[in-house]
Amino acid sequence: MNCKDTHRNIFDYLDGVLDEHGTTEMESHLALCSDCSSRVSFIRSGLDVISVDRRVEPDSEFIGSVMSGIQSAGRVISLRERFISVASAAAIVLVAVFAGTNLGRLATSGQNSEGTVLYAEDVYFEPIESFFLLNDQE
Amino acid sequence: MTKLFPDHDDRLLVDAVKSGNKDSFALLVAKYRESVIRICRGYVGSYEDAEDLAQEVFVELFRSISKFRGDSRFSTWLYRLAVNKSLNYLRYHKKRFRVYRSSESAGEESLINSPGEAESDAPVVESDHRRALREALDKLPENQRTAFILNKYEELPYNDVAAVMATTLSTVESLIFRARQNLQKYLSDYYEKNIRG
Repeated sequence: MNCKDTHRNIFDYLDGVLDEHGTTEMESHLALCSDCSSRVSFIRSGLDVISVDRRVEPDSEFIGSVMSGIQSAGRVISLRERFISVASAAAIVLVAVFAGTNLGRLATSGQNSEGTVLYAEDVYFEPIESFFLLNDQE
Repeated sequence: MTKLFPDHDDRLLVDAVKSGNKDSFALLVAKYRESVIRICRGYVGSYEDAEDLAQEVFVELFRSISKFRGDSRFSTWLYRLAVNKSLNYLRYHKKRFRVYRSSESAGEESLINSPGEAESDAPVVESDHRRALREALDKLPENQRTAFILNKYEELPYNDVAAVMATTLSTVESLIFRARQNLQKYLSDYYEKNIRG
């Protein structure tokens, strides 16, 4: 078997459908020809990708996602979109906590340089009755 | 997954769905999700895209289940739906996204974006074997690709492939024979251009 014959029979050889004589000739050639051997090895690995791709482990939310899709007029919220929305919500919470902490720090450092905490009774509020009185006068 | 539901007859489940029982539909999804994802993956390559596409297949199934008259097996009908949805997806994304194919010469960019991944603007470098197989499958004519994917990815026997493709057994034999020859050539060409150097 020469290189050309080898190239023509690679799939049959890999699928095990080449007859016994052909297989023996093929293997004898592959033992001597490093280029054909490397080519066959590459194509074998290419086809092995199919076996890897056949392994399926559906996301645990797959059925739930389909069922919510059929309930919302066919709009499927994909698993990726779900992940993104959960991640976005988490990010917003983190930003809010961070901003709240820093704003609080700024407020105490700027307006109240002594660092004392103001309680409700320390602040003067206009009585609510005066607001109603003002509106009545208008 | 099928083994978990040996006693459920698909037609009984379909009839129950037709009369408004959504739990029966969830059972159909549970029974067939892996098969549908596998078929979709044969077309799109990326697992995430295949899973999203499979969800759309089931939503479409729910919408059109009233049209299932029982002339063929339910699985045949569902697989046909998965094939059509996958082909439509590929046609749409071929128009929409720029795909960087492997270079004709050694110095050019040799990156390829799978359809869903192209949205991120970052080309994904796949392994040479995966990229070679994907390019080879993409080059096959649609009917050869469909016959090959149903036979190799979902391991359907030739007569079941013929039922899904609504064609004869001899046509499927011929399609898979030509698909194998073409794939052998394309993978060999890829090796010549990109690996052998």
